[in-house]
Amino acid sequence: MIGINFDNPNFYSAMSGLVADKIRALNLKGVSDIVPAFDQIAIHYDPIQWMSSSSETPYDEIVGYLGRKLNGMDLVSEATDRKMMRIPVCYDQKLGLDLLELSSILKRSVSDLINLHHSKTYTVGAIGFAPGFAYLEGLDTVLAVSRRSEPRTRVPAGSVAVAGGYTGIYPSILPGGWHILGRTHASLFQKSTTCGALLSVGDQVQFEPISIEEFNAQQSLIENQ
Amino acid sequence: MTNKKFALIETLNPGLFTTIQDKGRVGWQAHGVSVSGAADLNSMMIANLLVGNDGDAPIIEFVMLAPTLSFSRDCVIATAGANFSFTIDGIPLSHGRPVKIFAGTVLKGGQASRGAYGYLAISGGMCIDIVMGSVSTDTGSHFGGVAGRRLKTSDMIFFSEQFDSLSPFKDVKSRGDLPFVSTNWGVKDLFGVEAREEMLLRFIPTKRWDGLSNKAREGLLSNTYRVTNESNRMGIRLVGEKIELEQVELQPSEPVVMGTIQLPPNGQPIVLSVDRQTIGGYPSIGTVISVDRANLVQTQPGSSIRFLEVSLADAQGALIQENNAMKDLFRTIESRVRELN
Repeated sequence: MIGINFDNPNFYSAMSGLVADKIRALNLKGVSDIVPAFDQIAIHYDPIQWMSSSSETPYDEIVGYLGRKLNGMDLVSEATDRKMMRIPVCYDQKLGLDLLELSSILKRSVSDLINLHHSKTYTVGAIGFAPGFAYLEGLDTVLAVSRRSEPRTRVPAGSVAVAGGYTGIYPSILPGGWHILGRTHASLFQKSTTCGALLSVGDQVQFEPISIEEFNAQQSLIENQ
Repeated sequence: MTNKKFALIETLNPGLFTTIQDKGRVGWQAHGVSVSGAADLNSMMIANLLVGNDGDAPIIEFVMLAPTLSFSRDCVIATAGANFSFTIDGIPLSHGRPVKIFAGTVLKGGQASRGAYGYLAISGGMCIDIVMGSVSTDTGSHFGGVAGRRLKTSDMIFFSEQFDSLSPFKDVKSRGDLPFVSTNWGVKDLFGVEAREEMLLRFIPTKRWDGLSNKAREGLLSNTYRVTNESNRMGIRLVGEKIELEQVELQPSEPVVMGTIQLPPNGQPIVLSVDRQTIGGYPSIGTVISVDRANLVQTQPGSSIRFLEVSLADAQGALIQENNAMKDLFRTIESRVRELN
């Protein structure tokens, strides 16, 4: 693994997502995984394929090569123009299982909490914990609560939740301790080589509120397919 | 060509944690997908090559307690990694050798006196659905292998008809005095230490290692750590001298790798293994080097380990050396197996 660190905290996730894409496009020999997460990128490489006749280590070889390739690219302007993903979310209390509880903890009305959540534009900081689970940055500080004291053993798939200063979406039924505000039908992960995770590090995300009727209508559409 | 398949193996007893693996689900970590795969890759390669398979063909992996399996047809098998004292009709099976067994064989697994992970390769084409480039069982995400889980009693493992004739010993049609036929040569285990000795694990320090206090660094370097029973394919959990982080600051999760040494708030290190998640929130203070992977995973719970700090250059030098040695070994096995055909 090689780590690359950045110094520009304002949009480091957008930057690491972009740089990861640039490195992926280089099709480097012996590189199996390029994993951006917040201010770092891990490049999983096979040192055997980067051996050289000089006294340089394989690590020095690949880092040197990357430096030469990335040098001179205008990354900053590109990083400010990332893909926007709009995800419909139903914030009905039947699906937003923790809205009432959070409302009493934070002493804000349920509709305040919903507005605070869907009025922001988020940036995908990392994908992890489970396939397709995205840690979204940009949460309003009011919603920056810690995890529930008692985690659920089965969080419903599609649950949109907050904890630890992030918001995220559970791609499948998983154990979890985040506070659930709503639910989406968006498919966050498919185990096929043409799909994988819906979101990538650096993507921008906006949540679009839908009514329970719209949510149920989408549900029946999905079931009819 | 038709691709008919047949049920070759039935699980009579699944053992403790028996799964189908290969070299892992490589290339999907940016999607949050764990790599999984055989914990001890060298032993997987050896077992597969001994039966004439590709080194990273699907294989059966077991941990601490091996399965008992019945076979519906003649086939060639090999075990490698930890020796789980398999028997057929009460007679010990040769370990680390190609072995021809016959229809109706019940292969009974036991425990390993040394090592934790064992591998059973079966000659031919195991029919397991490929999920994102790999058959490896990811029990956390419930995909790969047999229904995305560890094997249970009465599971059937299917094989393709068309690979049958490629097996070593294809001319051996019947057993002699023993319930199996084996070679007079084999491969030694390449990992581990004898019981009661300490396993030495070399690691490359991270930037965070340099930020630890002298006392914390000395603590890790000069004490032995015991592998606990909570260790599994996610990570090897250690207990010993507590390592104190001077500043416990909330940090964003960071990418992790096989061998990442994490320091949770209780100060007892965890070394991440094959089923690790792709990113981790605990501070990582170092990485156990790739060459020591087999020694890391094969250390039994209750055994002791010790850490030794090495440079990245030394680690990569050792990897290049090991790679040459393994290539030689693999070539030797392949040519000896070809002679059996």
